[in-house]
Amino acid sequence: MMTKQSFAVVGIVLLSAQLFALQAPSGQTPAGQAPPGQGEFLPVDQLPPSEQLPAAPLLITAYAFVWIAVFFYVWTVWRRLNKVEAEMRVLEKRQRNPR
Amino acid sequence: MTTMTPTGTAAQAAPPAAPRGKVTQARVLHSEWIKLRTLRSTFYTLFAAMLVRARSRDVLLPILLYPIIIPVIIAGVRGTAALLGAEPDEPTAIMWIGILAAFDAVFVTLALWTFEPLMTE
Amino acid sequence: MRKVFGPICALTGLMFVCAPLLIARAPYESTMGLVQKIFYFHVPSWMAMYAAIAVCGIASAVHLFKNRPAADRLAVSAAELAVLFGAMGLVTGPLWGRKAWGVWWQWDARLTMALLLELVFISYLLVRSYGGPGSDKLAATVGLFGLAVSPFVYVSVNIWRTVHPLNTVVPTLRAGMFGPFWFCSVAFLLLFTLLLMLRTNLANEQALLDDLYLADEE
Repeated sequence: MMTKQSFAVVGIVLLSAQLFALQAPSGQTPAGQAPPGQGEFLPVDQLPPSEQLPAAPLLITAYAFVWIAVFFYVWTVWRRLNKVEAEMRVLEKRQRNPR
Repeated sequence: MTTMTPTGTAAQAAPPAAPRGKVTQARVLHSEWIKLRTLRSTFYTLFAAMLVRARSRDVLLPILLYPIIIPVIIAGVRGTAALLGAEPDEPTAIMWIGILAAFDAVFVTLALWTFEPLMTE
Repeated sequence: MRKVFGPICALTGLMFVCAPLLIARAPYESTMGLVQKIFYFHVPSWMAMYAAIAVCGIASAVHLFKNRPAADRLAVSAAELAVLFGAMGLVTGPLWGRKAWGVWWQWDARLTMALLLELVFISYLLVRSYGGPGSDKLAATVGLFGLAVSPFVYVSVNIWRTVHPLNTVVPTLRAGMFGPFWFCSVAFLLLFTLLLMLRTNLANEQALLDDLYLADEE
C-alpha cells in the first residue's frame, strides 16, 4: 500500500511538472507586449540617468553605519564597565563584612 | 602549517641584490631560495616560538601569521611570474624584489628585536 | 585625565552635529557626484585608524621592552579602536566604490593591504582573548608588527596602479572641500581620543578589580 501511494504521488508530481513546463513559455509573453527579436546591439557611452545606480541610499548607509558602529561600541564599553563595577561592589561588601 | 626551516635563518637574512644580466634558471632558483630562507622563516619561527606556551596555539598560529605573510607571498609569486614569462619582465621583477627587500629590512629587524623580550620572561 | 573628558565629549558632539551641514554645503565632485561625499567620513575613519595603530604599536613596544601594564592597557584599548575605525573605513569604502567603480571590492594593492591591516588587529584581539596567560606579550608583538605594516599600506597607491584614488587627492583639495574635510578629520581624531579615554578607563577598572580579587584571596 505504501508503494502504491508513493507511485501515485510521484505520478502526480511528474504530471504537474510537465504541465508547468508546457505553460511556461506562453506564460512569459503576454499577448501584444513581447518586442520582436533584436537584429543588432547599439553601444552607448553613458547610461541614461534613469538607469544609473542611485547614490543617495549608498551615502545614507555609509553615514548611518559610522554612527551605529560608534554607538554600538560605546554601548559595549558601558556594558562591560557596569559588570566590572558590580563585581567591585560585591567584593567591597564582602571585604567589609566578614572580617 | 608546520614547515619551519631550521634555526639560524634569522642571522643569515640579507636583502636580496637586484638582478643584473641574464635571468637564468640558476638565478631564479637562487632568488627563490633567498626568499624562502630569509623573510618567511623569520616570521614563522618567531610566531611559532612565541606561541609554544600559549593556549590554542594551533589555531592562533595561522591567525597571527597570514595577515603579515600574505604581502610577502604575493610579492614572491608576482616577482617569480614576472621572471618566468616568455620574455622575463625584469623591471617588474625588480620592483617586486624591492618590495620584498623593504619588507625584509623592516620585519627581520623587528623579529630579531622582539625575540629576546618575548622569549625571556 | 578624566577632567578633560567632559569638554572633549561636548566638543566632539558639537562637531559631529555640525559636520553634516558643512558636508551638505560642500561642492559636488565633477565625475562622482553625490556619492563622493562619503569621502568626508571615509578618509577621517582611516586617519583615526592610523592614529589608533600608532598608539597601539608604540604602547605595545613600551610594554614589550619595559614591562609596563599601563602601556598594555592603552595598547589593548587602541587595538579595539583600530578594529572599529578600520571596519568603518572598510564599509564606507565599498559603498562608495559600488557607485564610483561599479564594483563593491577589488583585490588591488591598497584594498587588499588595508583588509590585511584590519585582520592583524583582529588577530591582536583574538590572541588576547584566547591565548591564555602570557598572551599580553604575544599580542604586543602583533601590535608592533601591525604598526610596521601600516606605512606599506599608505604608500601602496603610489607604488602600484590601483583603482583607489591617490594620496595626492587630500593635499590638492580645493577651497570648498578643504574646510569640511579637515573639520571632519579633527572631529574623528577627537572621537578617537574620547573613545580611547573611555576604553582605557574600563581597562584600568578591570585591573583594579583583578587587584581586589588578589587582595581578597590573601
